[in-house]
Amino acid sequence: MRQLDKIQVSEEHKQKLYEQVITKKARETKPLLVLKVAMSLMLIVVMGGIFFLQSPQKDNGLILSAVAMETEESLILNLNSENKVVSVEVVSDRESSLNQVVNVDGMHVQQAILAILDLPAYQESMQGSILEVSVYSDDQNIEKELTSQINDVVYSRMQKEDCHIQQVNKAVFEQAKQHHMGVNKYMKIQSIVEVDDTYTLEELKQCSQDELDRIEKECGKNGNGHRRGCE
Amino acid sequence: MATEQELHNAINKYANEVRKICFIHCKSEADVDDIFQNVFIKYFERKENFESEAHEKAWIIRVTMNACHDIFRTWFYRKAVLTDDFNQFNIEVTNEDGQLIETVRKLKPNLRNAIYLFYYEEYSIKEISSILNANERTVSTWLVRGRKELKKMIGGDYLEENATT
Repeated sequence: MRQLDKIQVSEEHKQKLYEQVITKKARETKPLLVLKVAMSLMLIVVMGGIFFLQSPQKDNGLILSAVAMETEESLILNLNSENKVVSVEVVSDRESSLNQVVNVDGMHVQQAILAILDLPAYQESMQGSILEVSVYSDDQNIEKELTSQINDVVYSRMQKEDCHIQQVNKAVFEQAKQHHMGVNKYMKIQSIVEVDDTYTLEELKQCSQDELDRIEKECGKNGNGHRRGCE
Repeated sequence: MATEQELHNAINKYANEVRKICFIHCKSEADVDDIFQNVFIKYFERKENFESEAHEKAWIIRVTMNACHDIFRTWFYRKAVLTDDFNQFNIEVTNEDGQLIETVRKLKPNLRNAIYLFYYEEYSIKEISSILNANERTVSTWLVRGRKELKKMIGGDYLEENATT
């Protein structure tokens, strides 16, 4: 059977065979690889989703709550899940110097409020007016706790008749910001416009808090149709 | 799994071996190509290392023979006519050796394997029993029967009988 020695495979045929095996193997492996990648991505998305849903508060950069401190100017403290200040916004229809002097980023809300109340520039802006504090949070439990913390810190420094604390919803916060107004001022204007439709938001925007209080009182006395406006 | 370099080396080293076994078993060149691919894909996918070169060669032979048997089991293949195109394999059929090879191809698969491994590859009965996963006595029986069949078909004693005793 020595003639079987003559049976040889050419180098060209060997190379072709090698390429065929590699190609066939790659073709078999590719769908498997795609499937593995797809499964991994799905797993990451699902795990990520679960993680996000279970612990949204873990992200300290995420704004979850906000506190507006309002006199004639409104200062909004945006807070994360730990009630620490992420950013500060000054909402005012006139030029404000508070932007430059308020630096409370990273502080706990109680520390931040104390620091702001101690600022001479803020004390000056507060003169003769009541401090209106509005609180909202995406998380109802946090909102209660936050309101309680703010009550503690504000009333430790101020008399009850000099300040007022309230919980509001996110929509009111957003709408007030859109109109470049403090939350409390916006709510007062809304309440006046609801009672007396001869007033417009743009018109009342020019009024001070005291003037709005007066108009609100008049509207309450005289009912719909009463019209005096701010002086 | 073997590396691409190991696959390349294995093809260089064993391609002739695989082709010889294919020639003994297959009825067409197309089958040879299929078996070639199947054998070397299995080699490429194999996870365990070989103990030695002899172990590697024995594995290649066994896998090739099994691949040939798998093709042989199909109805279509059993009905196909054995190719007599010896030119492509450079086998001279006019002499005794060529006639012997041609006749071995006509034996039943087990007899064919035993004759090929014993007389051409010069494996011992023990080694053949390991490669074909069969009892040593069974391998001896296949060799005796194979030789008898060849004698009946060709009419002479081309293979040494005492080799199996």
